[in-house]
Amino acid sequence: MALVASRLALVAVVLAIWQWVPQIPGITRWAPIFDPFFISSPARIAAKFWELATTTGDQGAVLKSGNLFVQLWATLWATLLGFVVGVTSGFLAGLVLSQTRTLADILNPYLVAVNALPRVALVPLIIMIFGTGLGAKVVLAWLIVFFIVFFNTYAGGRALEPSLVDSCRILGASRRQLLRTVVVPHVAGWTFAILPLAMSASIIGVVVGEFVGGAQGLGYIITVALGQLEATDLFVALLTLCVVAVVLIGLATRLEKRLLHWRPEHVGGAGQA
Amino acid sequence: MRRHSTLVHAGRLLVLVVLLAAWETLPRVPVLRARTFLDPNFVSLPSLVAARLWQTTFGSKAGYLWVHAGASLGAALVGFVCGAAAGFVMGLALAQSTVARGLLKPFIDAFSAVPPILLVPLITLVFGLGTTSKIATSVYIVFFVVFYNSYKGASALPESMTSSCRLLGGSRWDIMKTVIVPSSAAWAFAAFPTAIGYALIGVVVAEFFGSPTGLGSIIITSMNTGSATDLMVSILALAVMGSGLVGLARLAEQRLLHWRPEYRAA
Repeated sequence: MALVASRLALVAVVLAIWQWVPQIPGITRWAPIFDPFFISSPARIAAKFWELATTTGDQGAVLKSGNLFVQLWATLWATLLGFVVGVTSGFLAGLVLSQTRTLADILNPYLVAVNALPRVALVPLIIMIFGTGLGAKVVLAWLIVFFIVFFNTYAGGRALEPSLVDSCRILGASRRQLLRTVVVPHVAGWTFAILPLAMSASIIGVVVGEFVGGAQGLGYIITVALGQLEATDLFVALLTLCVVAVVLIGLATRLEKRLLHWRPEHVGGAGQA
Repeated sequence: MRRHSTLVHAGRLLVLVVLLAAWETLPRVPVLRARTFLDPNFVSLPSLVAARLWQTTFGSKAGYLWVHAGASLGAALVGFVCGAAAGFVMGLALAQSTVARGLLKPFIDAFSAVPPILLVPLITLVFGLGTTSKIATSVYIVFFVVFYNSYKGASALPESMTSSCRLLGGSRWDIMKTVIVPSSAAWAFAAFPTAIGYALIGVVVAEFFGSPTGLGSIIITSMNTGSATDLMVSILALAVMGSGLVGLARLAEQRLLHWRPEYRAA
């Protein structure tokens, strides 16, 4: 109880500093970081949220009422599409490649090279090629999600115990039965385990895409607000984005727990954004 | 290391040749050029990229790439050192002090739930377009990676180990210095390869926001001017730098942690 109280007190202190320290006369001269021009203030941000929620007119410089929801939807939709496409294709590629040894050996050095490449650096390239629409954002999310899912699925396929496969074979399992009842469930476990990371990757792909060359979406709004130095709008869009990210990653984690309640941990592949 | 058959080696070579040949020739086909993204203006050509790479590293424009790569590398490294130090100290402190843990851990957890890259615009707003923003981004990213590992390392220490030391007459400081710090450091080192890779990504994204120097800034400039060759060259440079850094961190980790059972076998 005392702990909860002190946590709340800490939040209150931080908010109070954020709100009132910038109002101390002359403070911005030696600590420009406290200028509300840069960091806005909790009261302004709350007021902006309230304004967006209640009014219908065009009051904001960057964010107008109704606009926030449209932008949120654009980001959300691209993220979910990229996630689904990336997870599906990553799973299939990982499954196939882990089961065909020679092909995997041939492609291995290239996979290692691609895995070492910071995928976020490819965002401008994709935007140059595919433009700034929904398609480009889905491609971006896919590009990042695919490799994360692929590498974990592939690691899972390679980690399949030979004795398990041999036992099934001795018991008379056909190749198809083996695939359906042993290989796919095992490999799928590894894919499910990486779902939260894949969701986070999908968000990163979409939002960085919007940062760099967006025409819509929360990431785009954030860059516009940054360009026009509208700190309040930036905070409003950023807070919304953070909530979206936390909720989506939380959902993916729940999905993983639900699908994998029968298994212990299995994350082994490499993955980075 | 498994020995590969000739088939595998031939296959690897074939893949490389086919990929490069396709990249070099397909964008020259007029139909593809007009209808698809296979256009030298979008994907450049391997020959152009190689020529440009030579030109910007050792050729007539030598220095261009080095300066920008150096700017990114420097920011990533400075950020890495500061972030790792902060993460390590914080991890140790929170593992030791119940009060600090109860008070701060929920907030660290909350911040770590948001992918750090999303906060880059805020960092840019506060710290400006220069090197400070890049370093701040890198510090922020590295902090979380190292914090969680150090915290885990310091908390995962078997109770029997510390109580044995106390029994043998070790003071609180002795135990801290000889048991907790080395054990936690091992966990922190294990996070370094990941952390340095993330730090570089963070720096590059920070440079996307109008920084005057760094590989991220050339990438964005190339995108805006439609110069696919420059874009490819900077992506390539970044890939080399990234894998070099991660490789070095892995090597250092193995060197420093050779006494850990995981590394004894190898």
